[in-house]
Amino acid sequence: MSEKGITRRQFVGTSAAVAAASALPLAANVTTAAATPVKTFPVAAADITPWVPLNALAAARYSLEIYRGKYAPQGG
Amino acid sequence: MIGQLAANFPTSVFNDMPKGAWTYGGGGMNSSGVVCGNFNAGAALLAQLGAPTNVKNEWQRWFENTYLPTNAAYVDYRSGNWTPGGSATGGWGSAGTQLLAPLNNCPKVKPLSLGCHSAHTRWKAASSSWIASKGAAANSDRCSKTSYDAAYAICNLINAWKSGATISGTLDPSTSATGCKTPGCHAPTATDPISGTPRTGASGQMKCEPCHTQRMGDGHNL
Repeated sequence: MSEKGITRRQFVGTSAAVAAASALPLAANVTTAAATPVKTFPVAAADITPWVPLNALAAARYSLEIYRGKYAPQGG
Repeated sequence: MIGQLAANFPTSVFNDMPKGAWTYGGGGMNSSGVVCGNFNAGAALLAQLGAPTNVKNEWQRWFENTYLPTNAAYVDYRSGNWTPGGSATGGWGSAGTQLLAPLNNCPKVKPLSLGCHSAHTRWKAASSSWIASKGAAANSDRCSKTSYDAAYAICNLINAWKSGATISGTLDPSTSATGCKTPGCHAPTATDPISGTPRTGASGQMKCEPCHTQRMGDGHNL
């Protein structure tokens, strides 16, 4: 055992700890994302207040055009 | 509508929602004919917006009891202010029978049901001569114009709800306690007169008659 260097056991232990720490953020993110979606339905009332009226005519035209395949592949 | 909601409320979940999420409703959900995709998309939107029961019921009432399709899509097209865009070949239907514009005055029939199979077949039964004269694409004409009508109606319903208007949401009486779900008949809590055990009752709140024929003379006349 050297006073200036590190032992083989110390090196292996430190390396393992660093490797584990490096993996932590990835594991933590995956766990958080899977367990708690950021936004859910029904939509929060505060997010749609004050209400901005929907344009019924524009929606109607868009809907028929979706059916006709104008916006394929997202619709039609 | 999702696009409008995303634009109007950019911090809401609608801004994260992909477009085209409800196109699987075509043909009554992947062509199965189960539920009208127009009704389904509107119902989903109401749930996502947290609409109360009376608003959700009003959407059902509208779909069951409105003569569809209205002629609104054709009138809009005829006004000259809108030329419907379509696929690369310009229309819907198979290549040989494409309709390039909404047809005028196609037959209008009350669906009386939320089901694609029931509603569309009911329309076809009343429109056989129309379909014979216009070709099979008349079916797409009917359903696409119903999409136009449904989008227009659901937007107005949501706007009315949000503005505080009174919305009754009164459903067909056949599904109420004074109709088929009368206690002792098809109500969930009724007791079977023969076995004495509780009945599970008929589920849902759709109109009964389109699928269940009233029997004459045995108390089944409403």
